[in-house]
Amino acid sequence: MGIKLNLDDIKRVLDRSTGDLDTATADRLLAARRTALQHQQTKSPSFALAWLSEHGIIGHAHAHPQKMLNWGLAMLLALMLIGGVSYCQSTSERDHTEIDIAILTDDLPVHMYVD
Amino acid sequence: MSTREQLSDFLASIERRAYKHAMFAVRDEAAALDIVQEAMMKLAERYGDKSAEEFPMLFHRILQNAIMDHFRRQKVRTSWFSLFSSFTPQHADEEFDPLDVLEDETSPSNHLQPDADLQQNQILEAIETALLRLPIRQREAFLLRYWDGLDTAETASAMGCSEGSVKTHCSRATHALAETLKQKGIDLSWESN
Repeated sequence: MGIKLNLDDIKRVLDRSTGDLDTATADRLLAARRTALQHQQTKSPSFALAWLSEHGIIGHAHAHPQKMLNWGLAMLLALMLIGGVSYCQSTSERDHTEIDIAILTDDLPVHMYVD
Repeated sequence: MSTREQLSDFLASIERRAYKHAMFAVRDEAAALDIVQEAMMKLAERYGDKSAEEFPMLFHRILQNAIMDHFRRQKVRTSWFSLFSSFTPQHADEEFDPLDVLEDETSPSNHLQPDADLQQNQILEAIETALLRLPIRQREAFLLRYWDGLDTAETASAMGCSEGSVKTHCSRATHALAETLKQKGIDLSWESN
């Protein structure tokens, strides 16, 4: 033949050959693709978000605004409760620390000695 | 994370080449279609949530595994292992693979028919015949590198071997192809356009 080819030529020839598939084969490949797409795996960002989405808490705000409002108020109350408990704990700890320091430095106020 | 459209576009772009890959390996249209379908399904089911950039390497790995599974089911490897026992290892390196030296002797593909562009079809037939004569691993490496455009690392991952093995397979494949095509009056060079 006296033909000169390089690797790019081989690629082009093979690419062209894929267009020569018969209709039946092309149809089967199309069917296989569609079947595979029906089974595409999709993961939720996290289990918690998936649970919330599944129970209609997120992702459906436009359909259940009242439910969203209820959950928002519940979360706000929970945050306030947690904040209050944390504040009380930190205050108590600060008191203990101050007393410990006072004991160590022999600087306890007089009323501490009163029963 | 890829979308359904991204996966669809990828599968549409790869399905025909994947079929050709499988046909080169198994020489059976029905088996090749089953292999491609299996590979598509596994990609979608197990890796459908991956980014689209990962699809080529993942799909080719799955496809190669599906082809190997086909051969296992056909019990071909049993006969290859019995043949291998009579071979004296010619390579001291740990990457020696009997599939690398065993030549594919089955009949060439005959599913292409000449059309108006006779020379193009003659060239195609010569190339396909030469590819079919390659040992399986050399053909895999050559097609993944020079047809599918995977780099050495991606090809190694798809084939489950080292990058050194990929380079060796590709080198042997191109030399073997050049030799076979030369007999048909086609000069193959390694220079790109």
